[in-house]
Amino acid sequence: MARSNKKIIELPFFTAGSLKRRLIWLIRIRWFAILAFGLGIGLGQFFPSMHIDGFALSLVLVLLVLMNGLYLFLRDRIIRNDHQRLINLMITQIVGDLFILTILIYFTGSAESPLYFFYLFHMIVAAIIFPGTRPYHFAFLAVTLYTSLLVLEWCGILPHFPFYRGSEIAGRPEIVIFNWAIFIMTVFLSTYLAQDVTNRYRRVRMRLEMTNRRLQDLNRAKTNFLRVSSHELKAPIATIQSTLTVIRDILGENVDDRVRDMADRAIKRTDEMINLLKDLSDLTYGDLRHAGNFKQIDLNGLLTEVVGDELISAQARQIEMDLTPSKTPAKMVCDPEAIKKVFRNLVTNAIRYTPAGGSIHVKLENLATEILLEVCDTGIGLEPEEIQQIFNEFYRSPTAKKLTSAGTGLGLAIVQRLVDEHHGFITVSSQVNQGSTFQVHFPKESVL
Amino acid sequence: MNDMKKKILIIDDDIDLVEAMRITLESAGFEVFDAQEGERGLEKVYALRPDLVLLDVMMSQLDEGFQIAYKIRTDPAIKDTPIIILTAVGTQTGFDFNPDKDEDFLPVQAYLEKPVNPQKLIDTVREFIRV
Repeated sequence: MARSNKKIIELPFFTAGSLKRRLIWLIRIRWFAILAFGLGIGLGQFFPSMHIDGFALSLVLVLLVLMNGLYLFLRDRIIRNDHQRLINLMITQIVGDLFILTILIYFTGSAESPLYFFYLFHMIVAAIIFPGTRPYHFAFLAVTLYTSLLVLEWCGILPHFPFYRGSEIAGRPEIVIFNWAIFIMTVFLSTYLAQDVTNRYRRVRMRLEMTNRRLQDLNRAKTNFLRVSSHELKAPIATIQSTLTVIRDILGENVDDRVRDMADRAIKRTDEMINLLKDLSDLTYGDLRHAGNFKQIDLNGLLTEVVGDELISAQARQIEMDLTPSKTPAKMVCDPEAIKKVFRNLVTNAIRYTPAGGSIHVKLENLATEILLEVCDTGIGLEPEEIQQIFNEFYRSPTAKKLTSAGTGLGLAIVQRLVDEHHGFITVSSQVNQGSTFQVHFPKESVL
Repeated sequence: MNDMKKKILIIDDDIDLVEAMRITLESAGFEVFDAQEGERGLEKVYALRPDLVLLDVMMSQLDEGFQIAYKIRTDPAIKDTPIIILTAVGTQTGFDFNPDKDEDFLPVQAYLEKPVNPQKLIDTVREFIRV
């Protein structure tokens, strides 16, 4: 755990890919900076109070253009995942910029030059990109370069290039020293502030990452527990039912009618229990599924099969049920077993909650961007506030409970989950005593 | 008369279920034997030469039933014994098992899902028992 923590902190942007994007970003900004400088040199010629050495500055700019071109070339040549080389290129760029900037400052009057503000850009960029002490190394380099420039000029080793005609700044040490001191403070402070904010962000992101991983582990553990326990519960309840059925059907001749009746009631309850356990293990279905179960299939076939199976129980309740397949094959990459469960749960729900004499229309449509399943019934319907809750585990609407004791309250939770796994979504419209329409939208490029 | 009775061997570690199936099958006129564990069951297949074996899949091992079915099918002496496999409710058993597919290399006569209805058990046994 601690090891992986450290690793995330060490990586400036978590991946070599994001580092590479930063490099492009830096190179692109530099092109703009070069353009702006070029324009500045041109414009400066029109201000008589300024003294701009166009030739020297243009030479420096040409050098910068060459360097940026070289960076671009190197970036394209560096393999995407070579983390260390990407970092080295980033360092080279920042160091190169600091030197070029110092030369530009020299040619624009050193102590008089307003360009020393640009050092700050690099301090901020470095503080964002690099964790640890490295941004301070850059800050130290910037301060050293600028100070050296001032000292060398002061000692007369380098000749002074005045920027403003008649300016006395360079000749007044108290102004130069004051500006210099403020400059140093600004450089270090901006490095500190930018890095502090970035570090906070990194820590938050890392914590989210950790929490996320922990939650995923917990969820897996929970699902596994659910699966194992529903399975462990099934065996005894199945045996209880078999035993009771033997009492009722085989030994029943020798026992009192009341005994047979009680056995019958108990068998019905074990049925409910078994259905509940089946639903519980269906809820864990996705986690158990193997990737090999996914294949491209025409949903019309699955739907026809399911509606065909359920037709008998619809007819037994005097409900008319019809199916309108899509005009063109509705092919989708999916887990056919999961999709059949979705279809079956929606169709049996419609049958269960539609009174005798009602009708159910099942329809599949192959639209441009999605495959749409519609199950429309003339059943008991739902209150608007019930619609919010029907996908919750174990929720059954009061009207549904009154109508039938069958139903575990898990069916729609299973449907929701399986549809989620296929990146689809469900919409419900309903009116009390008029009926309900469930629509399942499967996006077409559902490749998992 | 007893010698004429068809012999059924139930291999299942759930003794209560075995008892329920025993009563059911005896009521239909079969002679019932049982074993609570795979290897012991296999020994009884050799010793008793039953006319049908009812075989639970999950015993001490997840696929113990399949292993036993495989052993029965690969020994010429007993390979013609009809086998009915009993599976737990639902198919979420945690290992790959597909009756349609597995029948190709593991020819068993039928799969019955627990809980088994007595009449269905009798019907299925009558359908596949060796005549």
